[in-house]
Amino acid sequence: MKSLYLVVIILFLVLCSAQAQNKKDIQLLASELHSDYYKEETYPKNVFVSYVKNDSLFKRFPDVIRSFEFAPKTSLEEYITDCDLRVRKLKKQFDGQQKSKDFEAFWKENLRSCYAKYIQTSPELRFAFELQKNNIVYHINEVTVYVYNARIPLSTDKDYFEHKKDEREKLVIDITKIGQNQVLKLSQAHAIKDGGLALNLRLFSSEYWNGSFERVKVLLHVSFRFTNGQIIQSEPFMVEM
Amino acid sequence: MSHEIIKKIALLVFEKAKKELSNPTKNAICNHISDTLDANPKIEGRIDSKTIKRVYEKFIDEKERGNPTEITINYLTQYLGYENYLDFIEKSRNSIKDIHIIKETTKTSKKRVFKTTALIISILFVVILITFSFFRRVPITSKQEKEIVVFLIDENNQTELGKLSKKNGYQFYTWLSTGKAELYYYSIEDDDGKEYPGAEMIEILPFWKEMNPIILSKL
Repeated sequence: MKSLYLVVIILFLVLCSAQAQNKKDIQLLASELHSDYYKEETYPKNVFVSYVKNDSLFKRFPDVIRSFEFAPKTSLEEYITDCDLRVRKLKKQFDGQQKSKDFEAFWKENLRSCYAKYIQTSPELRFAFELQKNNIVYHINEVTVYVYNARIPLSTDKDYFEHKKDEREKLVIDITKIGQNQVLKLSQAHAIKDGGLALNLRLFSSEYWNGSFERVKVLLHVSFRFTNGQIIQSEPFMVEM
Repeated sequence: MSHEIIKKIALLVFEKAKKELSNPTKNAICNHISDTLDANPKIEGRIDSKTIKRVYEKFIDEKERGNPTEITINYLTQYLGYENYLDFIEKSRNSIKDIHIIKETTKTSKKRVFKTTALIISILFVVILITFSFFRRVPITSKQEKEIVVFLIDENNQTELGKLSKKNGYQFYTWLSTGKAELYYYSIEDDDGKEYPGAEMIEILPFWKEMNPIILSKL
């Protein structure tokens, strides 16, 4: 009987060990900008002290925080100015007549190219994952976003994998939900298998475009939950979106 | 022999030959006169078409050529139905005056052709100038090796300009009017291409100004 208990205990330990091992199968290799319209800056952690309410979370911050900031060139600035003028003209023309359901369609119809430019110039971040074992496939179908703060008033490509094409997702983040996790479903499950996964997240602060190119600085981190139960959390970063 | 009368004979001869031909070029006229005289059994001897051509060049083309000989003049008057130069003088005293009119008509006709040609050339030049001032053929390209469809946005209409593909080396040429042009494009290779479109505002310069190819920004 004692030996049976011993066998059960050993089996339990082996299973736990295997599960623990599974949870470390995936590694986040890099997170980087995947946009021509942004530049990367860095700020010391202390700059954000007043913007993070949870002290224990702030203590875990790295010493340097990366910031992805909108940096339009002159030609893009001119385009944005032109779009702003058109938006103002349309707002005046359709004053009070916009129905919320038709809002997106309305803008898309009248400002098709401006909308395209807005989508094109939205921040896109690439998260590169590596799988330690090459005969297993895991998936990811949702991410969790934690917004520390938004509207932070600061004055101020290299490829890791040879994927035929990157997996791309639009992520609409509610920047008013500060200090809480928001689970965001991806439009499809993305598989991580031999060779890894490069998941590109295009970040938006609203489902609909309001016609403005004005962007808000948001401090956040993203957590990725894979089907092996492993959760990988990115470092906190700031992004203008 | 009066130079003036010789000139008038020449004009009458060439005017007659011209009427007898469907395609009265200089060579055809001169050959025709020579052949007609050869074919007439009443006329002795022969006159070479080259001799007639020199007369043509002297009086019609107004080039520097020597005066025709008396024999040549006699042949030419025989072509007009007279025995010789003297017979021509004798019989056509009254009609000589009309020769002036023929000469004027020939000159006027020449002037009219010149004017019409000049006008057509001028109109063509203006049309070409306007076309190239208001439109320009520009290359559109992308650094991304993706199949992309490109549209021109005009007011709320969109016109497909072309597609960038491996087949055309991710570049195509299109005519665009000068001034500001707004392009809208998306990938037709990616399933979600339409969800991630791109746009470009470009300035099309007239042909006399240097302009770089239009490179579409990354999608």
